[in-house]
Amino acid sequence: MNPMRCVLFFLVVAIWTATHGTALAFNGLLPMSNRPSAKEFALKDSEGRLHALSQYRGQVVLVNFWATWCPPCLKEMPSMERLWKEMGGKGLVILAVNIGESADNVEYFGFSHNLTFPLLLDQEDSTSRAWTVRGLPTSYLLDSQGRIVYQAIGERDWDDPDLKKLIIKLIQEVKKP
Amino acid sequence: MLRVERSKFWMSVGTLLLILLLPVSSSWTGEAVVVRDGGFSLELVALPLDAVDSFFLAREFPATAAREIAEHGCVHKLAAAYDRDAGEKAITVDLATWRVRPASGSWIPLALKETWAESWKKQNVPKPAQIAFRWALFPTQQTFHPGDRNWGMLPVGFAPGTLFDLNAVWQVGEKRSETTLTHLQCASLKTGP
Repeated sequence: MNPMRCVLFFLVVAIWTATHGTALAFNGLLPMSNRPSAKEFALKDSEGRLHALSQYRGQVVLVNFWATWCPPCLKEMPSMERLWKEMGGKGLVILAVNIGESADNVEYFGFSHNLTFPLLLDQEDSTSRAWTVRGLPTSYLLDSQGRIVYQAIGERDWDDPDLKKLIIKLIQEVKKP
Repeated sequence: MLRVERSKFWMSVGTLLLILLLPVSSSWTGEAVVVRDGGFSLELVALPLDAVDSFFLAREFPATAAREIAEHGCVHKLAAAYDRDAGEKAITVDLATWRVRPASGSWIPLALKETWAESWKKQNVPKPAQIAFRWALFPTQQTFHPGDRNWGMLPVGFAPGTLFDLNAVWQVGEKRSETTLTHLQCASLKTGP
């Protein structure tokens, strides 16, 4: 093989692996091509306050669909709380959308697990259907313009350093002119 | 109000822990069966009737309906996981292509969650219970990307204690993969030692 061609081949492989390969596997989050717009919702939290997704435009939003009886949801909640304590109010919003349960049940769950981010109620599961959620938990990371940048099916370690870097990068997109 | 919900809540947590502990507590049921294909895995374990019954009772199912799925569902826990560094091809699971065969019978399709859901609707099972049922079962069709995982109940639809084989199918990109798991068994009516 021509040495020049050989170098080019390895260069192409290296670039492809560095870009395409790592992008797909980054902390197990699936990048969404073309950043589709997230569907609007307006849901009450367990304390009766209304949250419209559009009111958080300008901030990075983590939308998480969950249920109190879902073991993997339970597993990832503490890391989500740590992320909220560190980055909530600094450009990140977490909206955890509970599917089909009562306000009392969700409120008690939040209280007993020391969760301080908003726990929204999708009691008719209309929002989860509109978002075509397939399993619990499912999470979406939205940019400041309300577009879905990443999707994750199953639990994640939300205060993983690499993942936090990714969120900071998204927050910094907001500050750029 | 919160006090009433609290007992329900701890009942749910108890059931949840029981289901979580199942893969290591095989004295109640059969062993967990794990299938691996590269970085993709499927894990199947029979759920005890009492665990299924109490899960659905805590989700506002009427006692008769909860007992129906516990005793006639042969409910298993199905968990699927796709390692985050396993590649880039999407993997699709479509339960409509899966088949089961009782020890003395022929291959038949699974009773899918849509069929069960139709039955709950006809029986006027409360809406919150129907919603919980829909989400507690493994999705009929799902696509997994690296790093994705999901779990859910899989009702096989046989009587307690039935021995059966299961033909599981999944699609890795364009390639169809399948495996037949033999000598599986539904949980029996008697649980514990």
